Amino acid sequence: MFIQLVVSGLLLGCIYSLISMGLSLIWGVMGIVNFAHGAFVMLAMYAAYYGDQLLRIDPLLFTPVAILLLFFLGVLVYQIIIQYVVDGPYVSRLLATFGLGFFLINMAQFLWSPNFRTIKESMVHGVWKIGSVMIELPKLASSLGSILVAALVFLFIRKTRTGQAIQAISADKMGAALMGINLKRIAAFSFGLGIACAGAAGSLLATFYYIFPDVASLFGLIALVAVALGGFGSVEGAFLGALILGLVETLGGYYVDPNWKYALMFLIYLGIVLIRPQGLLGRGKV
Amino acid sequence: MMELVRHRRFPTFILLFGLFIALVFPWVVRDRFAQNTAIFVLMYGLMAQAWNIMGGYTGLISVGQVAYFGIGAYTSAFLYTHFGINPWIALLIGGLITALFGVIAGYPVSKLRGRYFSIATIAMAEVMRISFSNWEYVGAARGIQLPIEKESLLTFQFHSSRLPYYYIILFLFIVVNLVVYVLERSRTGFYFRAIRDNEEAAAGLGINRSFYKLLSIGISAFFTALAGSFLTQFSLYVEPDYVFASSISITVAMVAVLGGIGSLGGPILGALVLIPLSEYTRAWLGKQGQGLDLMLYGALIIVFCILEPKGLMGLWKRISTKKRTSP
Repeated sequence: MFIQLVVSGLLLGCIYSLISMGLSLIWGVMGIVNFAHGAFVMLAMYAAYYGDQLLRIDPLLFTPVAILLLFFLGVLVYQIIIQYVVDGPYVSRLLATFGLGFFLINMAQFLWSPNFRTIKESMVHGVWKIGSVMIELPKLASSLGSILVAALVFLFIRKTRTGQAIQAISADKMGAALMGINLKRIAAFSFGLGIACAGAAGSLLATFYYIFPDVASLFGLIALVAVALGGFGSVEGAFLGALILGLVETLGGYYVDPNWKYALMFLIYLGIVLIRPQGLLGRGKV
Repeated sequence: MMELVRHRRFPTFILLFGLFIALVFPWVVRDRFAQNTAIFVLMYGLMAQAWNIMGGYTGLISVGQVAYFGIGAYTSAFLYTHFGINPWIALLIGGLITALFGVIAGYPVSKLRGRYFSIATIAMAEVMRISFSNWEYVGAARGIQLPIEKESLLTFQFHSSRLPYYYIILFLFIVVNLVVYVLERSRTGFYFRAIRDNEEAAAGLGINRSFYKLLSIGISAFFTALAGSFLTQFSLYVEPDYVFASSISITVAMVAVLGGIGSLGGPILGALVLIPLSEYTRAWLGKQGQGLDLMLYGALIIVFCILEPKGLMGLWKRISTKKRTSP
């Protein structure tokens, strides 16, 4: 049973990683903690749901569409809101994204009601049995999809010119600007890319997770905690944080109590940052 | 320099005039909805001022104030229904217990800074919501229902009129404002601001930063809990999703930020603007369908953050300094 739980914890953690990666990317480039991140995951879940209902496209195959949709939505949000608050005081940056999340969640309630929805049967279904370990194939497919998207984003940041510009800004904003990098353009692009990560995760999650407006709060908080746990500014840290949360969720849900699993996740996070305030892989002072 | 410092505060006569308006308000405006709105203005004003002690003066930006609010609400409801303790004493005990909770939980968390602190406060509030939702002893997800008593000041229940509730919350609101007024001019308040502006430098000057951070959290938690206990008596029930709703945390922070943090007038101004706006949009749009009013509320928050990031007090400062300096 233990191995079973570890496997499903890691699978879940992979999807959380992808969400957290977007959050981490946005933070690195513009110093904004996106408290609305979960809302974008939720929007992508609804997009995938309607893709399935109306167009009969499986959520797994819908993922590239979700990535594109959410990328443009992200750029739009940057143009309308983020660019105006990015240089403001910490509290107004924080509350602007909170307000955005609030807006999107309630928009979803208004448009699609608070009811739970599920996608009946995804193209990948069934269980794969290795010895005593059962792997649910929809979750496996979503996790592999998440890893694929994360790897592509990672390669993009490392290998392309735009990616290098993103790295340069994260390392030294002033220096990057002096080298002729267009800060606004790259920031808009990065925000879009970060939201696209959330979008990919949302579409992949839609294959097996309940779809409802408030799912945004949950995934948003998990991503925030994963990034804080791993240390802001460290993509590897965000991955590690997300995997730990996935493990705590499944192990805690089984050995402690399913009702308490999220409380347990957040308590463990609080416990860890007390010892390492800068997060597991965070550098320097808090 | 002296001039500058003087202009930054709200003139005292405006505060006194405001107090007069507040005292006669429910006699002039008899509309029940308006009176309820006024009660919420004061309740959120109380919480935002409490938030201001932590966030505005000491620089501990919390987005999980609902943890204190909910614990206060639950403690007084529990003490009353299980031990028959008088609501007024329960309110006070609730405040003290919450302050103690704030200090104990705050001890480790206050070592975190900026975004790490903010995220930890949300996580903490969420842990509280989940805990109370699953804790059978306090009614789990059902919460606690208070029995209806004869109305009197002693039972803290009034059914025929909203006026007593209004004056009680007004009283609590005035108390927190007096505390901040005194704090602003005291040595303690000076230490709070020193920690906010430069923690290392403050520590270098020999200020015990842990102590003063915890003191500000304790005071803040105490007053936030009073608002929670008040709500218990006002609505006569507590429920995890109601008294631990994350939207309360956001509204409290938003009221303070909208008004302008780190000043006495900020949260008052913020509550006067934001709460009626949200209450009346709720009344206006609430029936049109779920979420539309809150959608507008979210948009409002974004617009305020873009247009007036320094808060309405910032706007006030700009106007008042412009007037004085222009020849």
